Amino acid sequence: MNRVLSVKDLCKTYIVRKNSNNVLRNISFELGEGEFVTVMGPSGSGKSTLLYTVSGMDAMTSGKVDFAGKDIGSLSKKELSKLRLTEMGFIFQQMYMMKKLCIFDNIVLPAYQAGMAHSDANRRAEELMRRLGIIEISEHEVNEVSGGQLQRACLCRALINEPKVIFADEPTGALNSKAAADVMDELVKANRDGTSIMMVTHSVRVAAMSDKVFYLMDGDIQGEIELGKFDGESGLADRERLLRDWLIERGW
Amino acid sequence: MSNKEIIIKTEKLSKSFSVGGRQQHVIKNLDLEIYKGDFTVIMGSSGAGKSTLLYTLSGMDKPSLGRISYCGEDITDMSDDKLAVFRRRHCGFVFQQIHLVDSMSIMDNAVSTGMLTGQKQRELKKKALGLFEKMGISEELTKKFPAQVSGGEAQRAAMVRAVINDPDIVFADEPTGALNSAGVRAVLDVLTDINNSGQSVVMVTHDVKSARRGNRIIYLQDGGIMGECDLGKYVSGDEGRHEKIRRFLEEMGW
Amino acid sequence: MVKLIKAGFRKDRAIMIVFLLIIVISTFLLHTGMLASMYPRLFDEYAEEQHPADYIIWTSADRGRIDAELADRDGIERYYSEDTVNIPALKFTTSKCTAERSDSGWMVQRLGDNVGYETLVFDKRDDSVRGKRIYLNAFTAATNDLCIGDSMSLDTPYGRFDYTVAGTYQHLIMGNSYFFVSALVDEDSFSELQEAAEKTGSGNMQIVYAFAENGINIEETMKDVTVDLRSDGSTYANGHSIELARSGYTVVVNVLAGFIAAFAVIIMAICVIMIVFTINNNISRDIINIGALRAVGFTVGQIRAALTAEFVLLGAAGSLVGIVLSYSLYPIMEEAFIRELSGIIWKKKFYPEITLGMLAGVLLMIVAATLISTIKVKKLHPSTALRFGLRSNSFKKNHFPLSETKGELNLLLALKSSMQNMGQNAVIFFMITAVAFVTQFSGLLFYNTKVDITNFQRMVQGDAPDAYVYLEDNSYESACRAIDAISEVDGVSQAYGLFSVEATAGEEEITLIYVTDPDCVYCGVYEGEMMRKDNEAVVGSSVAEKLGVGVGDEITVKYGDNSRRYLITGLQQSVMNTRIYMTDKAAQALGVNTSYDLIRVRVSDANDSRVDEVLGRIDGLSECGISETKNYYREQRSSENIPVYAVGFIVLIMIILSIATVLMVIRLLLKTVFIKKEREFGIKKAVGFTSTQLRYQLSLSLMPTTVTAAVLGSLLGYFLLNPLFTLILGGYGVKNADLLLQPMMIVISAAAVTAMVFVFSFVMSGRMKKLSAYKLIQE
Repeated sequence: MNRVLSVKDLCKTYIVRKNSNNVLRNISFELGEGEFVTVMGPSGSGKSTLLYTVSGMDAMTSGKVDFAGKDIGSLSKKELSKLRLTEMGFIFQQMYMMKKLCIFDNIVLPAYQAGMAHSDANRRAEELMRRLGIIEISEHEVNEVSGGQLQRACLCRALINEPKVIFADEPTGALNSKAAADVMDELVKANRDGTSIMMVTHSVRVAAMSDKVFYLMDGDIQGEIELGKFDGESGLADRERLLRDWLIERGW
Repeated sequence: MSNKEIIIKTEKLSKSFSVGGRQQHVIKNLDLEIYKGDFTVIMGSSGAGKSTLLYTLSGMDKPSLGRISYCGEDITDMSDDKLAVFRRRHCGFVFQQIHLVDSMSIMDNAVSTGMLTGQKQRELKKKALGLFEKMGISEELTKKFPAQVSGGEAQRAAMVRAVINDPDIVFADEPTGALNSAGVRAVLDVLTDINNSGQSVVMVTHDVKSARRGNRIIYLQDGGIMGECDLGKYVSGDEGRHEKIRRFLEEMGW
Repeated sequence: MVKLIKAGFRKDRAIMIVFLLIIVISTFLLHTGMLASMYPRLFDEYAEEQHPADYIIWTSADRGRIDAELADRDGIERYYSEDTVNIPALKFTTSKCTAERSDSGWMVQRLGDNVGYETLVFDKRDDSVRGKRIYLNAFTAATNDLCIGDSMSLDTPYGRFDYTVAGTYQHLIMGNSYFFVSALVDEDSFSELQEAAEKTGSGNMQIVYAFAENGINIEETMKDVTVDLRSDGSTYANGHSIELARSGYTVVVNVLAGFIAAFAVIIMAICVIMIVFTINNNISRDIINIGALRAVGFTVGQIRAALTAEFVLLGAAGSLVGIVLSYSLYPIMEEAFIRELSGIIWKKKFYPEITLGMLAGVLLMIVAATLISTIKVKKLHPSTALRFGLRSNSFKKNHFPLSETKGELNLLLALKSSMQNMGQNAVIFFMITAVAFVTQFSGLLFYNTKVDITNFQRMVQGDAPDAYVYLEDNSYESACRAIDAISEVDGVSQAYGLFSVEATAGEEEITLIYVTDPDCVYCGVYEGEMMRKDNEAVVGSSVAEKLGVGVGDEITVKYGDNSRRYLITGLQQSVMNTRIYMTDKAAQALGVNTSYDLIRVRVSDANDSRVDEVLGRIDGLSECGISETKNYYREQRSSENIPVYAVGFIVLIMIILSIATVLMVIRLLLKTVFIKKEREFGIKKAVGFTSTQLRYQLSLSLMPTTVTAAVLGSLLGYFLLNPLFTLILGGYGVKNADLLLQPMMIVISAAAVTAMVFVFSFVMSGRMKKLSAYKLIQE
């Protein structure tokens, strides 16, 4: 399996009023093509920081991050922007969408930006929206749709440029279980279609749908557990139990 | 449903928003009674109008149609300023996004709220410190700004603000949404404590763990009440409770 | 692409409208000011077309003497000596105005004679009008609203003459209120005038127009000619160069242009601050959107462009509107009053250097402002934007902790709020200081041009009494007797005489002004003091500069064959004049036959009716030989007194525009302050604060900064008024502007600005009442 993301000795330190805070300490791991990986840990352990650093949204203090063969540290801001635009997709807990644009415009925006012909971009957006079951809210404003619909729209936006990796930061945090299930369903499907996923969550149920879980505590990866590919249907309860026991062992 | 005293009563309550030129009817013709001393939990699928209902019940938003009365007093037509006075005397709020005033220290957030009802500063400080201690927040921490503390600590600080005026009723809108499990537990314990000391709690949530703390669950669907579930007073460690809720929610189609 | 991103950023329509208006106003003012500064160039263009003489002399000498004097002079290529009738003072009525008007210093020539040009260009001409034809210079025509076909009835010392206006022309030497004014009449009418003048024994003169050889400066030569012509003691001769004429046409308008431009610059500075402030606010407000876009892959450049595109576009659009307005309104203003100030006819055309230059400058400035204000976007990591926003106040001190500080809740919260955002306080401070400065400046200017114009008028025109008393007998004894009698009249505070002759000092031609009582005369002494003794003199700044003398030096004054030395006791500011002041006894020692044909009178506690009252009493005096009296107090303040009136009028317009800008800026400032606070208001409302409490807190929180800035700005305006004027007008001879200062105005101005801020903020925050707590939080 090819490695789409390779992280070696990643360190991130925040300096706040002369106190330095080591948020990430010598993190090393790999994300393979088509893999679905979750990072869990107690709050304040640096999970989100890891996500932001690895995707180039935040600068690392030291270490090496290779994304699809490119060294993130050596890229200029402009190149990083381009990389994020064309090779990465993002979904956040707070579902950051432009409030004044309708759902459709929000989704196609990255595609127009990447230079895709408008007709192609529009077609692709429509296709994605249909697949994720939200085509009927296409013209709606951002504040007119439910949380689950909005997060699925975010997923469409993340997928529109056919990224190699989707970074998801607490994708179900603001959703009820039905909406959460819908969104995770789509995320798992996207993964099966070949998109690698790196996710941060504190929901065991959601994490149980991924292939592998890392446990991050005090800035260190303290363990990982292989759950194997989730087929989307059976065995979720077992996986959940297995994962929960493993986590509790580690002090979660 | 019971012989308990009614603290909030709505009659044919309706709330609509005009969004993008269209009218969205979020709450439709709702008749609801909230009882004194209850821990009422409001659940429902997203978009069902839970938060809207909460804000309307507490006077933070005006109903489009219908009436709301509080302990027999009709507050539907109260002026903006009168509602503010009503809120400070009777209500406490906890929001999902916490919403502490960024520019004041945590202590000041609580004290300024307390000063609204005319409490004296010196006594307020003592009272607040006591409350903060109960929530597990050190005096050192109270001097910090909201952005300098963790989510859980901030939410607990918001709880102190919510109860500093000894409100009759505490409204909580997804109070545990932004927290991890330790934080969730702390917040729910505080709410339970508040309820145990006699104050009513009305909480909106989509988290089953949180819902367990309530003694009455109201399920909202399409702007109306789809069903209710009476759980009886919360006792920790009761596994059967969890199952009861699960079944109720399944029935509702959650 | 940028359009899509832009749509996502929250815009505030009100702010953009205000910004647009301010740009329009400031570009309009600046462009108009720059147009008004074009007069020197226009003068040169007209000179190119019409080839005026290089030097001109008016003299009572005859052709023979003139030819003799100019015979062997080097440098003169050719000259003309033309007949003229000088009408020193006249009254007239026109078909446009039946009230009698007076004028002075007319030089009437024969139509067809050389009037100082190779090519006289008529602006309008129609020889077919009925009656005796008169052709007026553009200035006289404009001042009296005369056009072809109008009739004029002149009451001159030589008799009464009626004419019909048959044309107007631009005269570059005798065409404004600072020199003689030119007029032409047809051949027959001119002969009639000449004969009438001959009968009275004065009035017929010659005008000499001298043209220099290429590249040669004949000024010195012609000065010598003038002196020589006068050398016999009885011949009148006076003249000046075309350069001096040029400055006469352009000086006042340049001053005006200076004013206008100064205001424009202040307003534009406010504009730039506004841009920076607003964009900064927008960034803070939309920080999460910015973070999301950066996360998704938009570059810093695109986001900066999206944030600032509006300002650049509106700036361009606003500038164009301002420029078009300027071109459209200028001709109207020009015909209405600017032409009276300058005397030059405006050429309606496109002035690319001004227009394009200004456009480029303004756009550059706006782009620079937007670039500067978006620099922080560069340093923003997408993650920081999303998670922390730009909130740096989380690490500041918690001022006035409520649990420790005694005080009323609203006051304390207001104080806390005022300390919260020092960056914002700094901006508010600068803006309010500028606003208070402009308010104070405008207020004082208004006072000086509308309420008590004494000092303003003095600055522009020099000595001004409240009344003139004309004498029948202008002998020295008669004048002294009249002064004594008038001084006794109830209400008269001063009565004095002031007159002049032409003399020389060193090599310079000067106007020697002699006075009966130096203490009565105001002539703008800025260094030293007025003369007291009969061997002392006060010298004009331009003369002093030319001769290299100062206070304490001696100056030799020559009149005819006599010369005497005088001690310079003081220097006076002279706008374009070359003057020396001395007592009449001092002048008599020089051989001057001092005489006064009018007495200048000052009235105590002067106002229009009081002056009339006093004049009534003066009229009643017998044995003084009083022929008539004039209420000069009224005339100074009327629209007849063109320079003061016109400048005052324009200053009024600028004051109005400044106040409008001030109001808009305050409103805009407040709006941006509010937008930041909406969420906080929502939370406080939820918790139980009433809208009224919150509004008071907001208005009060602005007070510390506002009061400080308002006082500072007012003080600055107060103390800088005169220095600034001296600076602007320094080039025109004003050494020491002495506009009236009213200390009360500092208090008024500071209080007014503070009150405006408080009231505006309270009223504008009324919006909060309408929004429920819920809505405010969601915003």
